[in-house]
Amino acid sequence: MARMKDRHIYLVTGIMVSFLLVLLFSFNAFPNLYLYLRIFQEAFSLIRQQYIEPVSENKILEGAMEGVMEVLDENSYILDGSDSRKENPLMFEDIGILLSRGKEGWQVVSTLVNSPAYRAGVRTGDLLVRIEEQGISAIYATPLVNKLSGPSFSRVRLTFERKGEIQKYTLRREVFRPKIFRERRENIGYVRITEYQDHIIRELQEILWQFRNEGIKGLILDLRNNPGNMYSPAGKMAAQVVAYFLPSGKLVSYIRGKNLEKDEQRFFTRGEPIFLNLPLVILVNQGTAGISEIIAGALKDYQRATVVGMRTYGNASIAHYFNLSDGRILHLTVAQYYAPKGECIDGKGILPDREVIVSPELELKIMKGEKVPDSQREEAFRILQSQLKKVASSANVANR
Amino acid sequence: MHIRKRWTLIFLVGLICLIVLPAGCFFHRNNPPLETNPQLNSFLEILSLIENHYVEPVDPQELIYQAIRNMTRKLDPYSYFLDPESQKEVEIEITGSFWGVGMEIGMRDKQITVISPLEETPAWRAGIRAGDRLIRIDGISTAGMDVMEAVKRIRGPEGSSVMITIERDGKVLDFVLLRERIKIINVRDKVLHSKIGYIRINSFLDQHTSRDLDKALEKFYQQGINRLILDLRNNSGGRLDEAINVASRFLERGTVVTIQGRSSADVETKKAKPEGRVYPYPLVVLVNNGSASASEIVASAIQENRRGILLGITTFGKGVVQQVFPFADGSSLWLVVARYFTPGGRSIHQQGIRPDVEVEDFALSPGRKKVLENLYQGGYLGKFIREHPRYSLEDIIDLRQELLKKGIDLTVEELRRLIALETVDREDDFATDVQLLKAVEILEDEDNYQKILEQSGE
Repeated sequence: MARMKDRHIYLVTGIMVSFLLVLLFSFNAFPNLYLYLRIFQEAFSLIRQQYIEPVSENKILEGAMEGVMEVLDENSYILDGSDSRKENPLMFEDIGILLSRGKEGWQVVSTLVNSPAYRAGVRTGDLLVRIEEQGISAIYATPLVNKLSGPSFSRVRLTFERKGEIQKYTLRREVFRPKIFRERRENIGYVRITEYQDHIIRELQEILWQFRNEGIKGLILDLRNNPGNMYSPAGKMAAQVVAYFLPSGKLVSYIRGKNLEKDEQRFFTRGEPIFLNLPLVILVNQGTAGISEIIAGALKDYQRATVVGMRTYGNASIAHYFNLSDGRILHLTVAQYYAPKGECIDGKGILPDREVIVSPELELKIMKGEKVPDSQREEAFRILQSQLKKVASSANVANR
Repeated sequence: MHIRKRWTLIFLVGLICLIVLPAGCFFHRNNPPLETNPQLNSFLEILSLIENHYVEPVDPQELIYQAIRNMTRKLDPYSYFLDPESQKEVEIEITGSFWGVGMEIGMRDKQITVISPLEETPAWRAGIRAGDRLIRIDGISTAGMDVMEAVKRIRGPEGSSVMITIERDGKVLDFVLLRERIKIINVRDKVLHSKIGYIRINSFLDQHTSRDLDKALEKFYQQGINRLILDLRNNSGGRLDEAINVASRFLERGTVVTIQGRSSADVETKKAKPEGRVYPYPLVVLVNNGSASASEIVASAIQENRRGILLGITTFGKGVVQQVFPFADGSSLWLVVARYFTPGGRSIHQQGIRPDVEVEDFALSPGRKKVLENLYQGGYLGKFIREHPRYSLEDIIDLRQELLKKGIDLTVEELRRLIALETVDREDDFATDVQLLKAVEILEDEDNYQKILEQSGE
């Protein structure tokens, strides 16, 4: 009897001690944040009480927030509560720019082809420094959003900075412009999409079918200066386009967030492809982002297409809105897109299989509509022709 | 007895759990206690959201350090946040010593170079010389390193050794040096000709500054020195108490500085507190735009109490008191907590102090340096002095013409100063020290000195 009691007692003690240990162990998971929060509170308090002059709490808190946001990626920023929850608040279609919060300020991710900004020569990497001659806040996107939005056909004066040089433009907002082009050169088809919208995708499908009926032997899909950041989820739309070229059921992309199991999501091709084996080249440049990058990444990883041009931007992520106590909203990146082979697209971009560099001067000429040779497109054409020659010669061999 | 002991044990364990559990929950919460400022709440919420939702893990230390840094950016340039590493570096400067090999290094032509070995240090004893290019430290190439990084690698724990590889005139030499305690010499003294004492104070950070000054002054006294030059150029300041001590060595009475804190009632007047011997000699204080803070306190105290004259160019203009608040992790917050005012009630901050005699630094633009090199290489000054034990202005004009023919273009004034210097001790860079020369000139002429002193402040 006494021995049984012993066992019980030791069992109970054992459970309690292990419970205690678990508790102690879990303390160690968070002391870091707690320690630093304490330091912050102390610093905040000291500044309020000890600094030589009384200083506005909100002013220094603004500084604190700026500091924190500086550590995060370029798609995390703060908005006012009054903003509508657009998929991407920094996409300004009527002017033609997609912005992000870069290290040095608001910067252009991509300029939409043939948009007012494009024709003026605004480029990836340009810093937006003034709107209507007024400066812009570093972390709050709302003033930026408010000032950049406006009625169709209205004008806005923008000041950009590039490598220390200032450029001023007056741009007239417009939405209606062709967003998809097709051309044919001999037996090679060419299609350029500049923005993604449902009807554009339908048109793309029609064009591809047309090309198929015409019996083209090769295709160039031009995604340069297409930031593709308008639809959620971007993966789904990318999969739609990739599905025209790959068999059904292929992994096009997946996203990953903080919590691996909860936040992972995968996108697959569905339906019959239009061109399963047709030699294919994708044209990309530094203004290629979002959906366009995901498309390029998938087709490259499956070696279904040759990617030609310049490294893409590296802006393929998902952000969520979070309400804050003071009425503002935190736009925070919560997940990033990955290519099928496992490379993260966001922050890195897609490297072309064949690099063809266009100098900024030449790019400016192209944007302004001058008739200059398009070296990237020419290279794409050459690649397809040589691929076709190989097919033809091996066909000859087979025929003998 | 047995049973009671066991139950006592369980009871104790249970009690501990009961206390620890709610306490644990309290500390375990991510959310710190709510503040009344909604914006502060937002800030804390942002941190929490980042911790829980941001796409990749972020080091809370990085977030908080950036947050605090940016807060101080809203204040003023003298309020800032130092991470533990930077704070340690500052402390090394303050304590004035470290374990190293004893050479000053800098960047020349994109290469880490030895500026000078300090006397009686391992580097000096091993024969390392000024100008040696430091190409490897412990076998690691210095290409691409910045000076801070090189310094960190050279310094190390007591008694450890480091391998220094230098390149000199095409030869590569290796030295294995044992680290010693290196004391940064803060106060240097030298007797110039005609019984003028020269004292240079590098910084007021060292708590022994006034004590070292006392040693130098006493030495001068024993040697019969009766005129002084106090060099505070490029002395960026340091401890307030040391500044007051140093000023007190020269002022018998009077106000040294007034300190104004946050509230208007928060005013402190610091008066001179002389200790020991008083040195009432004619005094010239050298200042330039690198003289700041504590240096400016000493300079303005001497100027406004008419104890001596200031010579050089307008000082930096840093008239604020910083207080250091250390944090638990070794980082620190430096805040401006008060402002300085001169005895006459002027604010030093952003204005600086104007010297009684304004003399520009010798212009060391690349062009001028070459001219001086040619001058000294040709030995023209030495020859002139030998041939003209007493010289007149006409003699100097002739010299200028002679030198012009040889392609050396110096003004008469410049030559006059350079020649005067030739009769003074030529070590360090006194050769091109125009301000020092002028100070010597003034001290040699008592009437002139008195005249300037009387006119001071008008």
